[in-house]
Amino acid sequence: MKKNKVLLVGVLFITIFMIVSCGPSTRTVTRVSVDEVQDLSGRWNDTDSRLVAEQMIRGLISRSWINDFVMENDRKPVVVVGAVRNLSSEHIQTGTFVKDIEREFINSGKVKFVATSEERKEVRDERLEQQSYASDETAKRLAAETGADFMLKGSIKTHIDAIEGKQIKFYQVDMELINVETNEKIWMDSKKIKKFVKQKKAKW
Amino acid sequence: MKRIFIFLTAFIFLLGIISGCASMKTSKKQFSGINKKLEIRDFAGAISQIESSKDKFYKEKEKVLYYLDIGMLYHYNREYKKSNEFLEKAEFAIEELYTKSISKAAVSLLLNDNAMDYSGEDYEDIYLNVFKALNYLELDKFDEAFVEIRRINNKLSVLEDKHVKMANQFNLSKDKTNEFKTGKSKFHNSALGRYLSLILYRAEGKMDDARIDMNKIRDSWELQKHICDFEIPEMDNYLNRTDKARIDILSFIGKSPDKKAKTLYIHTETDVLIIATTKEAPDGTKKSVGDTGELVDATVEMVDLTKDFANSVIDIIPFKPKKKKKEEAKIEEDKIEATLDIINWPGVQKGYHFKFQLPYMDMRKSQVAKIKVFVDDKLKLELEPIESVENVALETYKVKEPLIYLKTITRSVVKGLLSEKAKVEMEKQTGGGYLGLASRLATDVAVDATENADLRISRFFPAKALIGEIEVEPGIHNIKVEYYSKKGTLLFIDDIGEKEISKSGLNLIESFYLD
Repeated sequence: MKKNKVLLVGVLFITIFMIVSCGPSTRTVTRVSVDEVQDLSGRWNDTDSRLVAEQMIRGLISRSWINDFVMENDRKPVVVVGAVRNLSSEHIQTGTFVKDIEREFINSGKVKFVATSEERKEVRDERLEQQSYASDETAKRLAAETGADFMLKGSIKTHIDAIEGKQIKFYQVDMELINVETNEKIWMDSKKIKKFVKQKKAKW
Repeated sequence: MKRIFIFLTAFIFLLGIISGCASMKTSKKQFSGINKKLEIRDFAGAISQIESSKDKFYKEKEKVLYYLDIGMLYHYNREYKKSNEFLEKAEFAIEELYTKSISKAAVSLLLNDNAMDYSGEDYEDIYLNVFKALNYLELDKFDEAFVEIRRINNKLSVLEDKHVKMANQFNLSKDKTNEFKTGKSKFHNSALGRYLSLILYRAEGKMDDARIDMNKIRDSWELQKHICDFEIPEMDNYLNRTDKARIDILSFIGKSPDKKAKTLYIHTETDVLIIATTKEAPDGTKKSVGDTGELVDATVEMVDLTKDFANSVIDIIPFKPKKKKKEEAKIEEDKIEATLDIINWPGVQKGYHFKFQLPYMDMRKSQVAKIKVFVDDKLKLELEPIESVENVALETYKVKEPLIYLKTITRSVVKGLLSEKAKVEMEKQTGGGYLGLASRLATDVAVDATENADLRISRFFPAKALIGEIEVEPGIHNIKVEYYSKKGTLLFIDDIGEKEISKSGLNLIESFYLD
């Protein structure tokens, strides 16, 4: 008799579980620090972008080219960030990465920075409009932009080695600094990130 | 005995409760009239029809299907950003659903595969990247389009490993005489994906990479003859230098396969299951689970049944009839035709007859036999097929088919035997009469209602992709793509209109007729 009750309770429990499992999933939100490393999907994320930018710029400003330029020209070099191409198999927001690079560069205080080509278009439109609509005292001069001495360009590539449920993701970020006047490449570096991503086969 | 009766009653009660759930059966009501909308290119109407049926017909477990269906319709409606949003969601959901839910798998063993999350067919996972690439090209995001092409290649390389593992996991039995094998997919290379890669590399001036893609396209015809069962398109000039501008036309026709249900029957002999296409058993008896008037002599004890199920040696043996004299062969012919398989099933007794449903892929034929491209009102070329999406769909589905077959048979036999046992017990407990008849009827209804084939599949991928390339002077050109039937009837004119064709860069024109 006791066993019968156990059986019935078991079946009842399974039935309730099945019906409940058809319902919508709940969602919770927890605030976390922006510096906290959180890998969810294994894809390129904000932490990768920030770490690579920091390492890349640390390497770049520790080289002798800045001192050589200052000695030769008696001023800080002016740098513009060119295209950082996404040649990977993931949709990477290269814009975020470019901003991380710019921030690290500017914070180093060793170089001056000018707006990227896309940003310049908007600023130029504004300057042109000022010639017609702003007062003479406040309108900014045309053809008074600071020309960049160097352009920083780069690319992000991936190599994926995958088997069912497991992936080795290898990211390579290549950057190079090119002298705008001479096309001379004065610095090159690459940073690599390797991730092992394992996905569970089963869950409850 | 009473314990068995209570267990069996609870089992039938459980089936009854769950069979009432609409999501245990594939619904296609949401597609009513949608083919006509596709034909008359009322894509906005089709989008609104699918969106309005989202809550009713696409449950959480069908989210991949919803994202694929709506994502493809947005593509055809030239809303490329929205299309990519949904196709991206579909791709991530497919990736996420690699992790299977044990609870849902358990429910599917009791009911049917509709209880599980739809995790997408392999071909859907591959072609969603093709359409995402096309969306990005339309949005002028060249690098992003390339990301999609790389993802196709990554997925193709994973595909075969995945299915070899599935077969290994199923071969659990120690003393089996035959290996159970999954179907082996020979689809490793998408000519359409390679074609897109080729024209993108060429537009970038990376001719070595373009040449590699060209070789891979040719390999497709060498290594996947059953998928590429048509002539390889003429592409000799694709890698040559030219002073002219190139227009590349990519056309999609028809609709990808649908899934339909095939009703089959299991007739049991001692230790053997006979899978047949007819209700009639090889010995001439004709009875199914649905026949309630006559009770089957069920003598297998519940304990033995579960023990046998756990220890079953499951081998699929292709049916090979022994050679017989001509006269005997003629008499046997009908029976042989009706017999699909014989499966060793130790412990099962003679005389049971169960009905079950198996899903299969059904091609949806396109009327289009010829596609002509006119530039500035002059016939320039006829498009040639580069990929049969429907062949790829069938090929990749083949891998899963034996697994679905085995799982369905296992479920049908266990469910059938339990329900027969339940009917016998109920008959004893109720003493027959109207109450006994009602309980037997309820048992059959519950079992029948839960045994449905999983017919879920995305509806809006095309059946075939065709290509062609035309060299013209750079400038503005008027382009028309005409679709003809086998008899030469003009089915549809896709008036692309005037397009600026530049010498550098990519001039890819997409056209489609989803008849």
